[in-house]
Amino acid sequence: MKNDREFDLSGLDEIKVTEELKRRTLYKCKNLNKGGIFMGKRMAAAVMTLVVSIFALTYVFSYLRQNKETKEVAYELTQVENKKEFISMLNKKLKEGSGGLKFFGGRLGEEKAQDSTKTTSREHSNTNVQVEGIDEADIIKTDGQYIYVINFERNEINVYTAEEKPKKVLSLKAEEILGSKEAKEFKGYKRQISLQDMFLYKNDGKDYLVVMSNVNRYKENPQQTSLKDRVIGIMPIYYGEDTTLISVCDVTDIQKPNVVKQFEIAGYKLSARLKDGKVYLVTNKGVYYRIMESNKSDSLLPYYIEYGEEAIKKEIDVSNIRYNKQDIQPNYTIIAAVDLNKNTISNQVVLGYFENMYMSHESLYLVKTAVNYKEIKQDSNKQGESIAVAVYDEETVIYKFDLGEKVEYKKFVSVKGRIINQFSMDEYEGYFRIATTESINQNNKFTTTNNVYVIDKNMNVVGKINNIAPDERIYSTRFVGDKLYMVTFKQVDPLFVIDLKNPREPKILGLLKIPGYSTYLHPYDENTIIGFGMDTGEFEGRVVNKGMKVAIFDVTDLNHPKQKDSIEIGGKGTFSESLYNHKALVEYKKYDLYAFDLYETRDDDSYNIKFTGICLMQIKNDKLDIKAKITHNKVDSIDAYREPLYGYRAVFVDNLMFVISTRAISVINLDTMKEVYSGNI
Amino acid sequence: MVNRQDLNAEIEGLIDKYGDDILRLCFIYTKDYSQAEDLFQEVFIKIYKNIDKFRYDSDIHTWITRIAINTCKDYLKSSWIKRIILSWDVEKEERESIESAVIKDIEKDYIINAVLGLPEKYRVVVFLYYYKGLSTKEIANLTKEKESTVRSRLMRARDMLKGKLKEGLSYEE
Repeated sequence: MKNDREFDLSGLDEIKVTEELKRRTLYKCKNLNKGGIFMGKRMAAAVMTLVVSIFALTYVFSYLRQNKETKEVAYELTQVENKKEFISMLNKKLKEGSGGLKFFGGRLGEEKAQDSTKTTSREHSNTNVQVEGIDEADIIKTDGQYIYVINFERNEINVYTAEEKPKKVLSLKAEEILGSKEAKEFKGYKRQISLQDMFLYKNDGKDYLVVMSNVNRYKENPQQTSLKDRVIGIMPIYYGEDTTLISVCDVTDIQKPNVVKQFEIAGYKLSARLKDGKVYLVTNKGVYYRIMESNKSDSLLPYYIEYGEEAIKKEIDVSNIRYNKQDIQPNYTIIAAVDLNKNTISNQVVLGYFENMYMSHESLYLVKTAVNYKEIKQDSNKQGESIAVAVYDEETVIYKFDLGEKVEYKKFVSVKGRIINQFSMDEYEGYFRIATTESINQNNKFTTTNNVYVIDKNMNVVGKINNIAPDERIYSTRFVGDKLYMVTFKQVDPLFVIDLKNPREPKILGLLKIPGYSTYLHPYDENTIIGFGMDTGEFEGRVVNKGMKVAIFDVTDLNHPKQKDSIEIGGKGTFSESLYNHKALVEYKKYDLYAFDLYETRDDDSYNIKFTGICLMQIKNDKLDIKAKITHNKVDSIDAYREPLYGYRAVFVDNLMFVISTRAISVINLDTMKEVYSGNI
Repeated sequence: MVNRQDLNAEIEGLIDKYGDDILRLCFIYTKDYSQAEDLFQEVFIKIYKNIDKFRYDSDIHTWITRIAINTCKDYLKSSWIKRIILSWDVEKEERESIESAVIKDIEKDYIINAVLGLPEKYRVVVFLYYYKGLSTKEIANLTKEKESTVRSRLMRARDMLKGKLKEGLSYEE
């Protein structure tokens, strides 16, 4: 990877602090204590808008019945019929460069969840998943007997017994999992494997560990660098080719793990789910037009590698590839369905770049943001002048695939705005629901508004609410049955309760405004929602983050949601992975405990670290209480925070909590709240 | 109590030592030189306010960079800010004078251009990795993300850059 540092950004050297900038900065610093307020001109403008918009805070609801909505065909997918034609079309488009290398948003998907079907006598926590019964892959898993955890520093999977004094029973290196077989097409390539995440699966009395890894193939000493390549200043020192390796390991006898089946799917993993013995793995693979290799057009097609006696590279049949004629993007999104009982694979491919997915028990939805650029004229502040302003119309395009014996493309729909993550979507009683934030230009001002759409089985919008909380944007959403809880934010955090009982007539039931915002909403029970997010304050007229905030909302009275309790943790710069990755939060209902990683700073705006580790929180009688903070850093050492440890995760088994970081493992007895074990990895 | 005179000298020293890189970082975040200058000032005001609280329990460069990253992120947090700035009464003459010839040159640099075309989270890792030469671990430490996240972002960013740069090349031919 070092080779790759060849991207030459030395042009940035030209940016230097001018004497003028230095003088201005020092001047402002010196005059701070004199009570002067310093706002750049542009920032002042932003603040003014903020004030203006408060007056415009009226909600306009339009419950449009959209049965007759005419659907544009612009996003329709067509099945590839002729391989040759398809390849030459791709070649042409990529050569022109006009295919448009459109990488929108570029949100790399998150990992997966866990298999909750295990039956063990000991109670244990499971990966925090979005849809009950559909597991999401994660870096740590437990079945109550063992704890499986990926150590990224060492690129290995470690397995511990889930007991007071955990014993390491297995350590599997990534390279051991990959093995030595290689497809003949890749002879001469080097391979680098990085573990990503795992599922646990039980079938027929056997225990399986399903591991997903990224494999990167590259040539160390490619042919002479051409002049062209040297002009660009990068390449082709490193032609990387990414695949996602899925390895099914029989771990019934934990001492003797046995890899029973492996597939490699082209592309980088977006996300994966496990349902009814099938892993649905979605990858994104870029299609690069290579001048040198343009005649080897077969390299343009997506492929997978099946491991058996040998590793065999197989092209995915073009009958399983779909594309949109009007929008050729140099990227494939592959949905691979791996049957863990039969060890078979089937693939569906869409040409295009998808940033997000959502999977219910019946369907899988791929989502991309389409950005349509246009220029509009608007009045400038100067009299009689108008200026052209760039506007990006964002649309979320949703492609639905049915999950039967085979994954099959069903239909698409497009809605206005963009989504934030998988929790922006949900399926309930046959209806797909989605919440988006839309950027609009209104009265010569750029602002945002938010929408909720209800979509039927045939991908028709049947109900919607537009213009929710104008000027704000969505920070988190959670669909619970026929309700939607949604947090939008600009200055204060309104929690909306939206009733979706009648899909054709969604309505807002209530809202609650409090400072701060939640980035993740977790249903606690039918009347309570927990919000994880940030507390906010003001800095020179703008809203800025303070510490982390956890709040419990009482939604018993849907029209009047209430905040029952909240806690603020740390100062500016405080952070937890659980704020954007739901799997970093672990729930243990038996004790009403919640564990999440925490990077806490001092509450004095200094950004200095106060604590890193796991924070253990309890909810009791509507009160939030931090029971313990567990770290593996040596607190007494001055070096302790120089290199804080990351990647803290926790799991619960019986009356024990296991805290694992890249360096150490410790065990807390939940009855006594005492640490009963601590040791190095 | 820290002597004010000393404090001013200290801030000046920090600007001399780390200022250029902080300004570059702000530019990578905002893609706009004058905004980068505004943020630069804000970063050093924060440092000025907090320097006596800094207890040298981490590296001062790391501390400053982290403040800069947080300041930029806070700033970008409201997406409407950046859009409004584009449309808001931007006096052309003023812009012209602020944006020196240097910046114009940079905007012509197509590698930097390609980097600026990436989504924010990729721009930042590319800057820290390729320009500042930090390891993925150090980047994870600064941005408070998992190292694996940083690695995957780098990989993705690299793919996108390759694509963009190749596109540029085929146009030229």
